[in-house]
Amino acid sequence: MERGRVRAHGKGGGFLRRILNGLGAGRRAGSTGPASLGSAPGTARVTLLDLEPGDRATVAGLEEPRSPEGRALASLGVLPGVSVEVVQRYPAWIVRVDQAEIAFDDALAAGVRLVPGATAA
Amino acid sequence: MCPPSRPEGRAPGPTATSPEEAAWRVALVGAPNVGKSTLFHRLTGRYVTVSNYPRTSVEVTYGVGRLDGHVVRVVDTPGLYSLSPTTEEERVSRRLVLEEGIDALVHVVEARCVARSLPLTLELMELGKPLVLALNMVDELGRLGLELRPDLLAGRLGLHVVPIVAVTGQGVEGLERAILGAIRAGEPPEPLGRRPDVAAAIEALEGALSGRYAMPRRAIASFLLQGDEDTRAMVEAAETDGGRRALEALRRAAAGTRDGTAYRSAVERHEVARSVAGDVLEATGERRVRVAERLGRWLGRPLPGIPVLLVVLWLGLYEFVGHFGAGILVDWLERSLFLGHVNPFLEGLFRGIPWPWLRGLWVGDYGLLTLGLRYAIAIILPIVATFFLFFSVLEDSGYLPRLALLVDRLFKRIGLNGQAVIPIVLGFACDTMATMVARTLETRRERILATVLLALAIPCSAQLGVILAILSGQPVALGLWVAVLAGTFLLIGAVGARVLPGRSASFHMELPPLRVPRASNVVRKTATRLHWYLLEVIPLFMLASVLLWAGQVTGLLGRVLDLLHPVVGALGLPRQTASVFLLGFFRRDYGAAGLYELQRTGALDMVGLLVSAVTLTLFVPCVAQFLMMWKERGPKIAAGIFAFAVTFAFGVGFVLNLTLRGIGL
Repeated sequence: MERGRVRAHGKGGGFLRRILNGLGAGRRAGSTGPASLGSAPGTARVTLLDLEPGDRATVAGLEEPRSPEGRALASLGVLPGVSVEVVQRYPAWIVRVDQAEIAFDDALAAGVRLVPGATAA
Repeated sequence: MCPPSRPEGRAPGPTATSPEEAAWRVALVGAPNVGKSTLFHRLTGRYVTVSNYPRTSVEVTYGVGRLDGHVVRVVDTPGLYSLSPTTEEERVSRRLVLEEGIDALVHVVEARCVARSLPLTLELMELGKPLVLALNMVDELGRLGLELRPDLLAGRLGLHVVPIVAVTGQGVEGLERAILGAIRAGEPPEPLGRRPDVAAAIEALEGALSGRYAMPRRAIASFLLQGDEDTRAMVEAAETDGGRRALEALRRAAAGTRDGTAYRSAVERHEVARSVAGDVLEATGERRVRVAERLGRWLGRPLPGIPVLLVVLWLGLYEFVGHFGAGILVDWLERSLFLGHVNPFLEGLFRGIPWPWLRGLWVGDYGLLTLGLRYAIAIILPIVATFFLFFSVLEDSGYLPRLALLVDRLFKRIGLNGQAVIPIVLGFACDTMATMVARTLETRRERILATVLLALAIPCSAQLGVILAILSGQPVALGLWVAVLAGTFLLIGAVGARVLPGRSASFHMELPPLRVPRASNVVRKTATRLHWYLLEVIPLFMLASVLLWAGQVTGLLGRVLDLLHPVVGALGLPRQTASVFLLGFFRRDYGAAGLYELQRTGALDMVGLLVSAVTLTLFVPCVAQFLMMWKERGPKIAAGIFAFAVTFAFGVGFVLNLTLRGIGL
């Protein structure tokens, strides 16, 4: 899974985020856009990492459904066809799935493939 | 303690003769935080027992209620998202649902989350047991701009579907009637949405199973087909040929299906669930965001989440547990009640015993009553009770998951993740209990790391309360004590994360809505924890008193203390602190209570107080925690942590004493 530095976004917490990033904790998954996610030319692969707070999208699939991360996502109802809305990215992801809010880390977020064409709220 | 399963082959309820035998068994099943426990208490009333499921640290609650005059045993199962378990709680829930001779299942769901809850309903429908669907919190639908049609849902699923509001009791009578009807009819629901090739494979596989199982063969076949490892091991143990025939049938069955894996099955169940939910749940208005929802989101952000966390800890730990519990309550109970009245009364009572050595067993420096009982009731009980109350409020308010996501990144630096916040925070109540709860962490590496940190850097509530009370008048000493512990926590965690092999699990959890804690729930949870704690602590206090008394009578205590005197001398501490460390091994809080007495008599200066407080906190875990480490993590790890903690604690104490006296503090 792609790892990077958390990019600046969202509301508030910028100072604390810089401190936590400085501690190395922020050196997790981040996104530099769909093209950087290792997909073949012309078939840009979009994952949850490409969304900002307020964006909505539909789950296309899980990168590794048999891994512990994939099983965790499946147990929380993050499965193909489900609509998700990003509430927060930092310090952990909060995603709204069918009236419920679930939290997870960057490693899990990187494993959620989305149907291209996310919509902003 | 688990209620015994009904013997195989006996018909449920109506044919039995005594009320005990006649009890039907009902299991409440559902995801965490959907109101199962509230409904459980509505159904059962007063007769409730809480116990750990055998060989696990998972709490299961059993109760007895009446349905139409008939005795019903109800089990409140731990939170469960699906029958393919990923956590220990889910494993226990699955076992309870499948193996405990349950006559009916009640799937409790939040009405607003019906689409994400129905996949589990579909799984439960496969188990061949009567099933009722309880749609809880239907009163919230209006605020969310949603309209749900329970009758249509009942028709689509072929189940009893009952809308309820467990908190107010609305609809609970109707649910009781539905449960009764489902048990009396005894008809399991027809599985829904299963592909024909999967259905055929399950049927073929079911026929290949000939061993004795406590759960339906259809469910075993379904789990096998989904690649469930636990079920496979169970089949290999139960079949006379070691499961060869069944596994061969599994291979053939799997070859005949397009894809019967757990993942594929989960995707298909979700598709069916979304289709059903789309028909029965309709958005009819605007969704109104509540204040609690906004507050919940704010608390999950670094700002204002971290400042609020600091305020919560200051109010909860320092003011409530430290000042109120360890200060006001302990002062009153110890000085006024025990030293003023109880101890003089007891000494008078035992004065008639002519032999001082025997009298000393009951009343005296190490007397069972004057020391053991006084420490347990007057010093430890009020501190632990205030902490458990604080923890139960945090837990019931839905704040702990926000805390977990806030600390996740920091905890990853020490090889853990946000989920470890629960055993770590619980460690501030009782490290023994927290060491047991660390079992819920996903990987062995995380369990070992959490155990080390609990043994070393997390003071239990009694120790914390006493030390906060001792150092509260000395802000510099208190600040240094906190800094040494926090530094140890981060340093040992970071080193441990690099040294220990293996991987750490990812962080994931559902965030329950933030809510005002219910007083009855908070009191019940506090009482349950306190009950466990007292059962564990009182015998150990008494044992420690007897051992110290025996040591004093035989002179052995003096010799052990003589051995410790050079060690405490090297830390710049007076000789009396040797007995504090010795007491500390019997219980951490016991040692802290001894320190409290030394401080009161003025035997320690500020540096001495700080050095002994730091050393005692880092010092070996108490006997109970050591035994729990042994049981949970094995003798090698327990012994290793013990040796490391002793060396590290005295090493830090030695350096701290030299440094502080060196700079002339």
